[in-house]
Amino acid sequence: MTMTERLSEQQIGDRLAAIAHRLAPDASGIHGLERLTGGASMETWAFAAGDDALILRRRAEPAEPAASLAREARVIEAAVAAGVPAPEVVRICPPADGLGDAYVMRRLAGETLGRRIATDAAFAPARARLARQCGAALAHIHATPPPAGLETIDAAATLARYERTWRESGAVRPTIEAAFRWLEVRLPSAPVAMRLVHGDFRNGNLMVDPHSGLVAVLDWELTHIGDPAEDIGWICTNSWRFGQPGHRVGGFGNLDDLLAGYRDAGGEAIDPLRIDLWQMIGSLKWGVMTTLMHASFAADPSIGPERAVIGRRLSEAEADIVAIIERSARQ
Amino acid sequence: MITHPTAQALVEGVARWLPVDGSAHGFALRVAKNALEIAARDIALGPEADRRAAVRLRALLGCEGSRDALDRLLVERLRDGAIAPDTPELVAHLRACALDTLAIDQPRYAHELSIAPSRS
Repeated sequence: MTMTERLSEQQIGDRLAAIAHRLAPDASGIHGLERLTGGASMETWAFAAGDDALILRRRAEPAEPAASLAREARVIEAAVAAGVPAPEVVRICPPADGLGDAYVMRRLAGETLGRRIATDAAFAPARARLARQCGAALAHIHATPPPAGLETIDAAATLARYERTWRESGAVRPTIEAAFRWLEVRLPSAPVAMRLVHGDFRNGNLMVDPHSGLVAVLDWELTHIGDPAEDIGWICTNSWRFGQPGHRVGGFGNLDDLLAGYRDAGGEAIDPLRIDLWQMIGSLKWGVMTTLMHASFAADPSIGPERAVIGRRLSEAEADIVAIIERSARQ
Repeated sequence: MITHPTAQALVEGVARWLPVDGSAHGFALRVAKNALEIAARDIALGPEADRRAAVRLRALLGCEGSRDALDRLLVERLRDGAIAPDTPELVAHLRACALDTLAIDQPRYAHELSIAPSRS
């Protein structure tokens, strides 16, 4: 594992310029370097080499080996080779590049704001086809031969992990308890064929063109080997419907269309009960995450009220959990 | 009572953060306003929501106690399997709790719950 140093914008520009000829033919330097996201550890930079618009993803702090960006890039390469619309990886940066844990990919054009995709009138043509396109993209992801070194996580392991975190929080909320118990008796009894899964496949991590629909599947850092129903259940989780609960898939489409796209692209049949299971896990995950946010506020109230307010979003997850229990009781 | 965080902790969190030199703006101020609005709704609606929840919990569990005590007992009953998570009376109670809590925390959240109690 390479220790990744903190680099100034000037240093990043210089080091990218030194490898520009490897990023685009005939490029002798780079231009237009601009920081896009300012996460505490992940950095995303836009720049151009010659005529090519590119993105640098790098980590400003050393990561655990299991979460390395080089590994993420290898998964994207494998997925693109399997027919998934995703940004082409131009270079996985070796240590000699001096950029640390980093890779360069092609920059694509499109919208990623979930609310616009779900509600903006300009995206109506995209919404008409997007669920089916998501189904096809998922079928290709789930058929991708996984690169070495990925963690395998099934439903039981996910549930155990979140229940442990929940217990540690000490919170008393009967609805969350009911969700754990509801899930416990619905875990798959027969072995599930484990596949490459994206791990964060939801509206907000999709790049969408208003007319043609799906441009690319982004944000692969949670990719692992798991139950393919995990990806389908997550994009159905109401937290990602952006105020459009009537459209189960990401607030823009319906599940039948997604499953038709999945089947037509060669995806295996998936028991709808497993999609319900993973949608419930999705709501539970969000609920547990809100309590972690509250816990960090409680530990240090001087950080400001943002995480306290997120703590008050546990009620969203609870409403979604009760809706899933109600629906399943009607079936 | 909602404790993650309490209304008091929300108000204190804003007071502790709020810079008096006028340097706060935009997103952070909107978050602070939201925190105060949640606290105000909690103070206005929380006691009645707790009273209703306690009435339902007494019927569900067959014993007396405050909402907090009965919530703890319900969690125990769920953990030890005495009450199954899809018991209709439980689901009706949890639906009512979810709607009361959302009315305080996130009244604009678009969800799939039936507003009228459904026959299950």
